[in-house]
Amino acid sequence: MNLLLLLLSLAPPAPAAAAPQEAGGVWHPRVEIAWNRYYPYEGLLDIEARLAEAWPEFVELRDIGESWEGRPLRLLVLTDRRTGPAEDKPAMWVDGNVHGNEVQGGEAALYLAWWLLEHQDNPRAKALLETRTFYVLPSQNPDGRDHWFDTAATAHSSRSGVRPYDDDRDGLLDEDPPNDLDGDGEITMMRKQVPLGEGTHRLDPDDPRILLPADADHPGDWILLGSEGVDDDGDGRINEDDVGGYDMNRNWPADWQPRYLQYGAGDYPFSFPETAAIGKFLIEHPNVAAVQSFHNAGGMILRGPGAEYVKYPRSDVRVYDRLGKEGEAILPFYRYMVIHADLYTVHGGFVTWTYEGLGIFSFTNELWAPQQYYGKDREGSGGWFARNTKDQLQFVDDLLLGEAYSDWKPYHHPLYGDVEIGGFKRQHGRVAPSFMIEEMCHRNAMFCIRHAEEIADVSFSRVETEDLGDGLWRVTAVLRNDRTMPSRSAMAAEHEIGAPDVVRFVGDGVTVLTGGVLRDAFRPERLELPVRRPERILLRSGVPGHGVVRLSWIVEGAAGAPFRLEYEADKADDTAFEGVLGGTDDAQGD
Amino acid sequence: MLHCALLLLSPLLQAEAPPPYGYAPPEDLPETLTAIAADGGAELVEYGHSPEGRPLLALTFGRSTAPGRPEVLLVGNLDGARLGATEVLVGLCRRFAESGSPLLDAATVHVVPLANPDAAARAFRGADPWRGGPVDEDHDGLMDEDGPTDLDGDGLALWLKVPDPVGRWRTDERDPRALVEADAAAGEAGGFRRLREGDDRDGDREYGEDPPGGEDLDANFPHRWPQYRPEGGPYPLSAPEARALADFVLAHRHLALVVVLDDDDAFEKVPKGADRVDRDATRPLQDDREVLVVWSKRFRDLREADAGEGRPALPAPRGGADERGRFGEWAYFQAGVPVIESALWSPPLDRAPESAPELEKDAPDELKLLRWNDVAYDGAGFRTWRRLDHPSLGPVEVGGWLPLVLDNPPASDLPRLTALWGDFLDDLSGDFATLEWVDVETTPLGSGVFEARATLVNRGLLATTSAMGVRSRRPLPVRVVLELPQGGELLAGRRLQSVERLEGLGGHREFRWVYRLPESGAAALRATSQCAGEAIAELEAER
Ligand SMILES: [Zn+2]
Repeated sequence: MNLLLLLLSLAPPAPAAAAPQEAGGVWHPRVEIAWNRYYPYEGLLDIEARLAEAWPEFVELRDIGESWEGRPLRLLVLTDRRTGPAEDKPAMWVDGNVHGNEVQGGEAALYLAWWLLEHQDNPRAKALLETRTFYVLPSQNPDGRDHWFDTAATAHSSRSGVRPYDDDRDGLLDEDPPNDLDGDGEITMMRKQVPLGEGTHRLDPDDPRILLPADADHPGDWILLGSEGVDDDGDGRINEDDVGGYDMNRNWPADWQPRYLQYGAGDYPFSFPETAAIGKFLIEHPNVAAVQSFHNAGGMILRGPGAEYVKYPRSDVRVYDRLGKEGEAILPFYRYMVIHADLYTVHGGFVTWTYEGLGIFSFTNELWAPQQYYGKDREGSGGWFARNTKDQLQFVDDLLLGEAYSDWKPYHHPLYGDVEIGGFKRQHGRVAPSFMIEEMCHRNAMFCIRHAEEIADVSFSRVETEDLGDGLWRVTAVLRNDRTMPSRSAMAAEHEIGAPDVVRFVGDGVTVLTGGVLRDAFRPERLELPVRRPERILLRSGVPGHGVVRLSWIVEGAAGAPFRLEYEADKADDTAFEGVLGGTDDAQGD
Repeated sequence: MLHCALLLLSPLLQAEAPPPYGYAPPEDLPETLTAIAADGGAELVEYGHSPEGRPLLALTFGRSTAPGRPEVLLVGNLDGARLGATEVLVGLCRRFAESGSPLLDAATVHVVPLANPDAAARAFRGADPWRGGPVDEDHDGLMDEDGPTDLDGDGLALWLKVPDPVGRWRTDERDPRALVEADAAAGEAGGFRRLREGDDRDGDREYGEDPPGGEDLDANFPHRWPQYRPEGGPYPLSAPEARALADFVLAHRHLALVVVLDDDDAFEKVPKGADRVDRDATRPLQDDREVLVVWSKRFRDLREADAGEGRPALPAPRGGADERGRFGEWAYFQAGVPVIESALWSPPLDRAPESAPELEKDAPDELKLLRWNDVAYDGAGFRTWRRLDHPSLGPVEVGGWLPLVLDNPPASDLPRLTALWGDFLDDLSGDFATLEWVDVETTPLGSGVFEARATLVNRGLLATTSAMGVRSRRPLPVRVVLELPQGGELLAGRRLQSVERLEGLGGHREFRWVYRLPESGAAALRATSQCAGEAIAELEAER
């Protein structure tokens, strides 16, 4: 019996880079980027272009489609191309901003690329780009993003794209959006003073910016009139048909349901140019093994299911739990949650599709938690968005000197008469304030890196040949995966998504008589015989996370006859082993 | 041409040949439709392309700009092998072009005779009607590596009858051609396996299990899409033909009815109704079902009337409608349009040569089909089992039903089927929702103030919007507008109102307004709709 050792090939040396900040000394990044602001889409494209120019061997920009208004969906393909083309490596997809107003996902996604590039002196960062690819799409919805920057908006508006939609079913499109009546560039709230006792609210005696609900002891003299606007189409309703009116994160094919069952679903899956382009890319790239999609807000690390129609296999849930728990440590105030159980029901969501439809381990992070305003839990500061108005105003007053709030100003409304217009501006509530952006980006980038590091890494850890006499040999091989993720998710195995892993026995002078997966390491006859030819064994469940698969063949051939074992998987690096029957210790693998 | 001539000369003298005898090659369809359009004033619309580059074609008849004019869509042969549906729809186009139809006075009619031209082209040649790109049906990481194959050189991949002690098929003693499933409960033993003709190229002991293509156009629609089934495709509407057809439906906002002639049937026996719908709904809402029941009865009456004088009635189509991801279900449950789904025709089980002995009622269908085949085609629809030395299975027999025979009517039935559907469609012309103002009353209240009352009624059999349309919120509601002259003022009521649905046969709603009129000018009521026309009423003002 001969033990053959597998020698790993050595990757080419990494380029010299300036010492990163963490290594001590003065750091001069190749690309200076201000991470204390949010960029309109042009600004994100500019960052992509600068990274591509500074790191030509690592960054390739690919336009994978166009938005409704014709903005390019520019994918930043990040890998060390000197160790192989992007498509030959298992990959992680990272995107942000499918909801136009949830802008910080764009910066967070690009920060990940920038940080990895600027830290190629770090052995882990270097190894990642040598062995993995990152597909980074900073904005799934550039039209919605720019609409949020360019027009009067709230923290919550411009979630949709800008393709016209007849929200109020009157045959007209987008004809009654909110109106910036006071011309301050923001959509805030309207309130009106009424005779005492006729109102639902009263002013907070400590802070007249705040309205408190009226009660038996405190009769109201104010009413709330909703978002700033007028009845543009004269149908008796205000602001009921805004620009767009759909949700591209309900337009993906897993458990897609029509609009009457799921708000914003679109006509059918991939009915928008943005989702169609992204979907096509992911379907055509089975090497994607991990997905991260950035949203805001509330501080969450979310996984599916989005609805109760499907059960996630237990072994996959263990992988999710492990990564999710690690994320909670990396991201203070973020909670690891299940979308339908802990949040709400979502049909046709993106990360539910990438997992349920494509078999990829996928997370949505809701960036920015209201607890972060003060770095601790305060009473009433929980929930998805900050709810405690007093605390929020204190933060805006103390740390932003009142910016991000528009004081109430009188306005004469065509329907309501004398009203006041004011309230929080769009920069408050869902996006991190400027001075906290970099930390938000960094922590989320580190979570992505941990996710990518745990993509399956499979190798032949041990191959033995045993002489059975008369030219018969038993060849036994151990495939080992040193990472948390299996090479094929249990979801993919259960529903036959993508191709199964394959192990081939190749040898010119060697005939394979039988072979299969070995179910008992100590009983060589406990072979699970394959349905098909033993030279090509299918591993339907792949190689488990931190686990092994044993295979064994009975072959016929002369001593010293060379053979080759080839392992192929959608979502792990292909690997091969070369040896000879009765081979010696110096047999080579690659 | 030659086929047609033969058919006319000798329809009853001797048995005809089975389909595709007498059928037009699908490749001729573009030319045929172009000619019909030119002759009959129809409009030929190319609404997309198949993956193999064939045009997806619709003929539009009776286009009009009348407000609220309903549209009807007739679609055939999503399956590919349902060439009879294509023939009937082309026949209907000819009929519309040559002699018109009351239907064209009432509605704009779009006809898509062949929704799946790639598959149809193969089906016509006797091959499996696959479409679409490669699919790994047997999940072995190889695509399309083991399709049915012609082993005996007759140009067709039929069936293998393989001796096997544990096989569950047996030869029926009443007809040596009949290979039927053994009923273990009745003490019957099997003895054969039944496999597709093929040579198991991937060595997995399955035969023809991973043929070319594999996506089913009619499993690729978003309602009840079979998410993890190979035939469903990678995502709903991944097939360009399906996507184009869906877009066609969604772009035509005035559709009041979709008729699907394909391989599923929910018209011969209308399924039970339901009170509510959800994601997995298969039954029509009760209110929508009632119209289908009226139409189904009307259709069966027409079919009965067509029989007589020595000719048996056209056979009723069989087959349920439980396949997931169908076009017909999608058009109803998601687009919200009433749908008739018919399988057009099925081989009759009650025809037999005069010499044939009686069969028990519960005899296997295979025996009945073989007898019908003897009457209809002199047995030519079935290839009698013949010995074959199979490369890996040894001595077996090859034979079985020829492609197309069980799914398509004899060519001689096509004119009758076309006439039957044509008559049925003619009769639909009076069924569409029609708005009308009744009981219009204007009462002067003094000082130029008036109160108006009016009732909007739907005179048609169809509701203004199907109940499912209301639920899906896709069709737009009827809009009622009080139009006041310059200087008029609304004192009570709403200028603009929406009515989601007025039921058929008298569904109505009453409205009231109070308004002040200027010195001159009168008020009017206007009701507009997507497919129930428009109704305008002047409001008399006598001070
Ligand atoms: Zn979001």
